[in-house]
Amino acid sequence: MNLLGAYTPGSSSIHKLDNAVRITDFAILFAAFVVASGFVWGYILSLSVLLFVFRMAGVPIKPVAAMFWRFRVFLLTVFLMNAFFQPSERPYFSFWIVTFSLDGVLFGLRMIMSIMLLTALSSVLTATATPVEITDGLRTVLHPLSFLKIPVDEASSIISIAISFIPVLASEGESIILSARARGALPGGRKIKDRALSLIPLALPLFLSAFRRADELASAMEARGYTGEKGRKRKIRIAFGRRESLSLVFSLLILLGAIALKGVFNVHTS
Amino acid sequence: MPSISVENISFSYGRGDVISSVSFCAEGAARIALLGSNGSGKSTLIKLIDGLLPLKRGDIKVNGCSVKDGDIRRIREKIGIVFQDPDSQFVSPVLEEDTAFGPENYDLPDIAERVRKSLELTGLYEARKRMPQTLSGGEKERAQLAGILASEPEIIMLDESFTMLDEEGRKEMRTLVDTIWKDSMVITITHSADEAISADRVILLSGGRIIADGTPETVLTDYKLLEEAGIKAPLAVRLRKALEERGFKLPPLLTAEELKEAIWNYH
Ligand SMILES: Nc1ncnc2c1ncn2[C@@H]1O[C@H](COP(=O)(O)OP(=O)(O)OP(=O)(O)O)[C@@H](O)[C@H]1O
Ligand SMILES: [Mg+2]
Repeated sequence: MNLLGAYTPGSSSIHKLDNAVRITDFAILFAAFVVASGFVWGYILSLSVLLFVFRMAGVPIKPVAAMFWRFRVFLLTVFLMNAFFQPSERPYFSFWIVTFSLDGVLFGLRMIMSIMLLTALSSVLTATATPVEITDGLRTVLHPLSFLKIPVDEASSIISIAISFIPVLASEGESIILSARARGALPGGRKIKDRALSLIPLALPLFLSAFRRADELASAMEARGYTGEKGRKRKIRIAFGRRESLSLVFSLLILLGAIALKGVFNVHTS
Repeated sequence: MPSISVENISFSYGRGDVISSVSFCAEGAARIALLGSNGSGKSTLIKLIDGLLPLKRGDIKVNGCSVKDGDIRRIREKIGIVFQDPDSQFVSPVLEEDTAFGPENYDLPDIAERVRKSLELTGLYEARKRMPQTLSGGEKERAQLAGILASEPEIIMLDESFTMLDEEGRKEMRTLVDTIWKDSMVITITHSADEAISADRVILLSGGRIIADGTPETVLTDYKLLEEAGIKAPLAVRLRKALEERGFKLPPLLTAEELKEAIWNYH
């Protein structure tokens, strides 16, 4: 299955990183990507880092590109919404609530760049760590918060269950679309309005079966001893070695680089 | 020795009872078939036994512990359920991690060793790094067996499991279950009388009530009871009856093998 962000077993350095350190690395890179958005050199930095991380992880980049292509209408809509509705002092033209300006176009571009870069980055995380490892890492990283009576364990479990549910939902969606096609529902080839309507019979069963699935999954998990509050007591510990320190230094350098670039090239905008 | 004692329980999801005054006891390495048509309350009954649904009326004791006030995790640890739809039961995108799920929740020792053994016994060790969602139908069923095997339960409940497999595959799975759990209690839930033949006790459920509880020889040949439960008699039993109506007198029998034997020896 070439699902975006589906776990891909491997033995890359990223796969081997300590769970807590991996989460921290990705959080730092995430921050760096956010800082580096909005100007060309920033995007060049983010993009190179992204390609490097994909290489390191040995995760194929094609499914990511394919997914963005599948969501092209969504991305285009986000872009147009921003391009036409962003208020600006220097509009090319302005009519009622519609304002078309260079600022708008740039803002729209910035939005979709951010969406794509951050989605791609997080897909490397889920591709190199199983939900259990992500939970583990989150739990360790968030551990200090539990002294503030924040239910860290539960929050981490919920996040990890949500992540493990992605492939289930995706395969469910696939089989529903197949069965709908087998019964004559053809995507495309009809008027736009009909096409939008024809999505409803696909979306509805997906929702219903997602609920049913979630319910069944919950029963099955409970039957295997999962209780939410109590289960999965793992010890909090970090395996800190050369690989871990190197990766932290790398991501911190990228963050610093992003901040520096922003200072040099991006003083007048934003 | 594993034991279950169900004492006069009733249960409702809100509108009318779907389980009414059900009682039965079982212990040791029994092979029990829970037979009933769609909606007769089979799944509800096993969920109640596992404490997955809240029991208000009556009581259920597993190994002497009540599901109402006992330690529910200790009770569930002793019970392994294989549900009908294998797709909604995997909790991890890596098989060996999914297999470790139960033992981890129960804080059992030697998890890695348990996982290895379970996957070897079910013939899935080679696939341990794979994504369970992408396994074949038969492999998924075996992955589920591995998942409950790892916690070493004493009571196994199969809720219309293996129905997605072909005849050969189903036979294979049943042999596997019988060898892995030869000393455990195995409760097979089914709506097919033919599936119930190999059990040593058949509990017949209809509209949430137990209307028969006995050996396959008595329950599965009783046309009136089976009809009341909306269940077709086993194929061999129906054939024997058809032959009898045409004047052939055959001894009581259940399986196709026995029928063949009886016709062979007919004189
Ligand atoms: N979650 C629920 N909420 C409300 N009613 C339910 C629920 N689950 C089951 N029921 C109802 O309870 C009755 C018994 O259902 P149950 O699933 O126990 O039957 P079953 O014997 O397992 O049937 P099947 O062979 O179809 O699996 C049915 O009438 C069903 O509609
Ligand atoms: Mg059922």
